[in-house]
Amino acid sequence: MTGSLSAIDLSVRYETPHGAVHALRHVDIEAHPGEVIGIVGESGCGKSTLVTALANLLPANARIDGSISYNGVDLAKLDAHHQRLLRGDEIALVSQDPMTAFNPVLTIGDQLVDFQHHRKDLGRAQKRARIAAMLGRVGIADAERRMNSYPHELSGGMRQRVAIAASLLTDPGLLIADEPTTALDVTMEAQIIHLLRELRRDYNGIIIVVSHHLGVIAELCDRVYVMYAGEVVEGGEVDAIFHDARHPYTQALLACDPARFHERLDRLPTIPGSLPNLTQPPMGCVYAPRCDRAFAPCGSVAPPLVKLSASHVARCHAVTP
Amino acid sequence: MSPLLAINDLSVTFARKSLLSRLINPFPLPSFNVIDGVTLSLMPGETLGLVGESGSGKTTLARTILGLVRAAAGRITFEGRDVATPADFRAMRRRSAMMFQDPVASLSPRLRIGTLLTEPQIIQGVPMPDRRAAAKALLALVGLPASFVDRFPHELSGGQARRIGVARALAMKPHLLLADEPTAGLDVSVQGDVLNLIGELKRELGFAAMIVTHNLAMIRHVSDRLAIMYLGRLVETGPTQDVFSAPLHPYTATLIRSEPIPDPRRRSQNPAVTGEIPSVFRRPSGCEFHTRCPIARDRCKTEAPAYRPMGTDRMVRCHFPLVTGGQEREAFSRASANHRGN
Repeated sequence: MTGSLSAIDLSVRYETPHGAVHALRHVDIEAHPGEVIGIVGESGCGKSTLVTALANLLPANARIDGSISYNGVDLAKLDAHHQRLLRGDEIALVSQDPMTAFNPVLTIGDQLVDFQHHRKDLGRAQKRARIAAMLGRVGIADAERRMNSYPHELSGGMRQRVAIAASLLTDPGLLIADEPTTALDVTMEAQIIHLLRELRRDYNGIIIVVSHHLGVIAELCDRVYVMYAGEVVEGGEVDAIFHDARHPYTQALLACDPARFHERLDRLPTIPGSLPNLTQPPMGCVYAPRCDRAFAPCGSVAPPLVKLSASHVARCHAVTP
Repeated sequence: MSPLLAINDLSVTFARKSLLSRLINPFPLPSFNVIDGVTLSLMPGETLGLVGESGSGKTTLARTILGLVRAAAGRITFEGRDVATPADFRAMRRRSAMMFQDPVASLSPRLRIGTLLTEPQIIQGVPMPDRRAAAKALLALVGLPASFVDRFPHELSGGQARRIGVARALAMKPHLLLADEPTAGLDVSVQGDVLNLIGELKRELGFAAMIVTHNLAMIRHVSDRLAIMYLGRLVETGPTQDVFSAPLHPYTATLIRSEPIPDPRRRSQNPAVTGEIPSVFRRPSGCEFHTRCPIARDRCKTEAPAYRPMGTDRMVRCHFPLVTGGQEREAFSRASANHRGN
C-alpha cells in the first residue's frame, strides 16, 4: 500500500514539570509516493520530534495538535491498537545506531523472521527465503550465513544494511531513515547513500531522510524541509534549497558547512547566538534574535509562509516571491 | 628548527594476556599491532591533522604520545628529550594537554566548572593564590561568562562543554595540544566556533596542535599538515593543501572522494570504494589497502610497500602512488569514473 503523507499545522508540545516545551509548531509538510524527502536542521530543531510524531512513537507526555494524514487516515487520531498495526507494517524506521535496534541475544535471521509476524500466509522457510533475498539486495554477501550471525558480529555498516533490509521486509509505504549514516565512517556512508539511492528505484513508497549533514541531504533527496527551533523555515526542491536558499537561516546553515569551501579559511563561518527557549517561544520569528536581516516586524509578528514558487516556501518577513 | 615532538617507529601491541585468558588458553595468543611503525614529527606552532576511519588507530596513537597507552616499541622525543619512563611522561604532560573526544564524559559530573578548570594546576602542583580568579580568567579566555564557575557539567550545551575542554587543556599553557575529535557531535554552526577559538588561542599562545579526526571537510581548514592512517600505519603525510589537491595514496583519494558534497548538482555516481576496513586482527598481506584499492595489482597482494618520501615534504606508503600526470592517477580516475557529474 502506498499513499501520500501530509502534516497540516502540526504542533507537538511536551508537558514537563518546568512547563510545556513547544518542540514543534505549525509544521506543514507533504510527501508523495516515490519521493525522497529530506529533513535537515541542527540539534534542537525538532526534526526528531517530527519523525517520532510521524511514526507515532511520541512519549506519553507529548500533546499533538493539527493532523498527520497518511493515505487518507489521520494518524494522530488513531487508537493505540491501530497505530501499532500501521507502525512497522506501513511505517518503518531506520535509526541512527542499528546496534540498539536489534536484540543482542537473537540471530539476525530470527529477528528478521519476527519482523514479518504479520505475514500469516508465509511459513518460516518462506520468510527466511525472503530475508535472504532482501539481504542480498542490500549488498550483504553470503546472506544465508549472515542470518545466523548475532548483531555484535556485524560491523556498523553491515548492521545498517541489515536494518534497511529489515525495514523493507514489511513493504512499508513510508520509510523513515533517522540520521542513517551518522554513526558510519565516510567510506561506509558513501556506500549506504548509494544503497538507498539504488533501492528507491524499485521502491514506490515515501522515503524520509532526517539528517544534520547537508552533504547527505544533497546526495539523496528530491525535496527538503529546513527546520529551526521547532518550525519548518524553508522547504523546496533540493536544487532550490542548495542553490537558491531564501531564508536567512538556510543561507547561514549552508554557509557554515566547511565542505563548501576548498580554499583554506582562516575563520570558519558560524551562526552567533543560540536557540530560543522553547518553553516560551518568541512572539515573532524564531530566528530573529540571530538573524542579520531582522527588521521591525521580525521581533513581534510571526512571519507568514511565503510561497516563492510551486514548491518553494520560506517563513520570513524579508523574502518576497 | 627542531621538531617539538618526534615519534620514531612507534608500535603499540594489544595482546589478550589477562590472567584468566592465560589459564583458559595456555598457548600464547598472537598479539596485534594496533599501531605499527609510525614515524611522525610536529614542529612548534604547527597544526597536524591525524585522519583515519574508526579502527585506524588514530586515537590510540594520540593516547600513546601522552603515555596513556604504553608503546611496545619505538621512540618519542618531546622538546629534544626522550620520553620513555612514566616520570618522563608526567613531565611531558605538564607541557602538553589532551582534549578528549567526549567533552561531558571527561568532566566529573559532581564538580563545579570552577573546580574542574583548576584541577590540572592542582594536580601538577602549580601555585595558585586564588583558585576562583584563575578559573574565571580561563573562562574569559574561551569566551564564557564568569558565572559559569558555579555551574555543573550537565548544565552546559555541547559547544560550551567543548569550550570548557579547551580551557582545561590550556590551563597549563601547554606547548602541545592533542585534540581527539574536537567537534564530533557538534552542529556545523557551533563546530566553527570551537575551531575558531582553538585557532585564535593558538595564534595567541603559540602552541602546536594535533587534531585527531575523521572529518575531512573540517580538517582541511584548520591544519597545516595531514597524516592519514589506515590499520595502524601511516599511509600518507604532506601539506594539507597538497594532499587535498593531489592525494598520492589511493586510500587518501578514496576518502576525499567519499565525502558527500553539499551540492545536489554534483552527486556522486558510484561509491569510491566498496568493502569495509579490515580488522587489525586479520591484517591483509602485502599492502593492507589492496583488498579495497581500485588499482591494486599482484605485487600489492604480496609485497608490503615501504613508507617512502615523495618530493621534499611528502611521504607515502604505496607501490603505485597517484603522481600527477602518472598512469596510476589516470587508472584511479578511470576506476572511479563518472564519480561526480560537474
